[in-house]
Amino acid sequence: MVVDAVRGILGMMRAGRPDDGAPEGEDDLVRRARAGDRRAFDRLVERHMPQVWATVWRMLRHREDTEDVVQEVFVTAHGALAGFRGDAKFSTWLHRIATTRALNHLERAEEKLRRASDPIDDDPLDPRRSTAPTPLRALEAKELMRRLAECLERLPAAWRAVLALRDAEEKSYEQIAEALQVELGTVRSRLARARASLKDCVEGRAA
Amino acid sequence: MSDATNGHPIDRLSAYLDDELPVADRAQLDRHLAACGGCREHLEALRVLSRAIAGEPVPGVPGDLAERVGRRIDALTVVPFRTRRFVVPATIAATIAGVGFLLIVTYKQGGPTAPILPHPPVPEASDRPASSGDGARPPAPSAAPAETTPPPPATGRATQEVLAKASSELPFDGERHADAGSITSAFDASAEGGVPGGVVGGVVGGIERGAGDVVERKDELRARAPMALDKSESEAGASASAHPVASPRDEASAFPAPCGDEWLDSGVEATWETADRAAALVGLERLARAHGGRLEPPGAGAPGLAFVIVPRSRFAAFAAAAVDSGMRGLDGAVPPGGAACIRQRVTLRPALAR
Repeated sequence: MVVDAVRGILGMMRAGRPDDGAPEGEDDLVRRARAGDRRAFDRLVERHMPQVWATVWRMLRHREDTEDVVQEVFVTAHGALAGFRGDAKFSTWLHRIATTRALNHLERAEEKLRRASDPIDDDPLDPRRSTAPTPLRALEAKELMRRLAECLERLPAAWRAVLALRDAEEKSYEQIAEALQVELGTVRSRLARARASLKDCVEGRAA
Repeated sequence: MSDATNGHPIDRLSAYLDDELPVADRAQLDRHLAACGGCREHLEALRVLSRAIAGEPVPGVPGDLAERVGRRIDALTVVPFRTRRFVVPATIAATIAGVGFLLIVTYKQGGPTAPILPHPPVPEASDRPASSGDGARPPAPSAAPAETTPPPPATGRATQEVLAKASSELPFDGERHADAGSITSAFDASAEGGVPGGVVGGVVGGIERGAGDVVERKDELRARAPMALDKSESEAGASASAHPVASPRDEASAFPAPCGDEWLDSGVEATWETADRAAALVGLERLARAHGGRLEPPGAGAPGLAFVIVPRSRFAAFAAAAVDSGMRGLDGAVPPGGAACIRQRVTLRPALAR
């Protein structure tokens, strides 16, 4: 009992402030987190964890890698709080860190895997498939999702990123450009190429 | 891949689907789609794919992932050394009182009449190098933790010896933060009583003997930052701001700093616009530590110039994190050479008022 009480005291010390039960706005949490309130930062982690997890997973499509990168995102955010000036929403800032980290991770992994498999844009015709292409509309839902998952994993990292941000997270082109730190035209062209290649892959067509 | 195949604007269907085309282009495409079944089918395929991507299930977040984040941040955070100048928070006082009570009850070496330990076994000021007279500056604990501590009362001496032994056994690494677990195990091995490890870890974490140079520098940075952990630190920090932080090289620490003296300049100039230089330095040190490195804070002659030294293998990641935090000029390129670490020069510039 004494141990639990002392641990509780130590927990409060680490938190920095007692919880007064008042509702916490995002701006207030960010301000307190920047001031060193660890509990406020932990609350921000809880709030944004689902979205960051989803963003990173859609880009990496690997559970363990996603766990590593998500942790890296929040540790980086904690260390970089001093540099967050509030010009954009905290979620936007966090999202940018998440996409950058995920892209970095993918690009490192892609270098290792490049010899093992051909990127989808170089050789979309997979000899394991049936040689007869199947229009998307003719695919059953289950088969469509299976092929989609397989083809998404073969897409280049940059293309997978824009697809995840646009289709899964419904970000505008401008928001995607900001998150990925690229030009608007680059977002447009990447999406177009990514979707075209994905369509060809899912349908089993050659480029 | 052809962008516009045989007059069919396939390349613009993606932007059309997202409603990201200029009005005039959209109107033109509307007219084409009205007359072209192939393009309509292509557009519909893109729409199906888009919906499928949106509807693809995402695995659930692991239940302990937030906790793991917290532990990683904890591992990078050094508990600041609190001097007598600082107002001891009630929670610390309660913890110390609890330790004293438990020591009386369970520790047998001090004898039945030994007084309660009133405060953490902090080295006396007379044992440390003379300060500039500003009481806010944390005293530098001796490199040999056990040799300058005056003999306290019976119970206190036993505690002092145990804690000195424990602190000397700290597994100091490049991060140089107190490992409460190691201290706990050392204490438990020496004491007869079963003092809870969490209690010892909490007390010793505030002592940090032997890691004084790192803690002192970090504590000064924290003291100077308006975003101090509590008001007492802010009050002390106001008077400490006039004193530049000593370079870790000046202190000839007994513990090797991350990367030591072997580093190579990155060759690029990084700048960081900030309205709060002290807070930026704290952030910069966190970034450095998060990547296995260290910060060399500004000297008296160049208050806006700091250096971050990180292992070569971590430099690219550090640069990416620095860019995320607002720093400019970094490209993450690792200069060739044999040095194990890279030194990055960072100029802190005042941000324009908004």
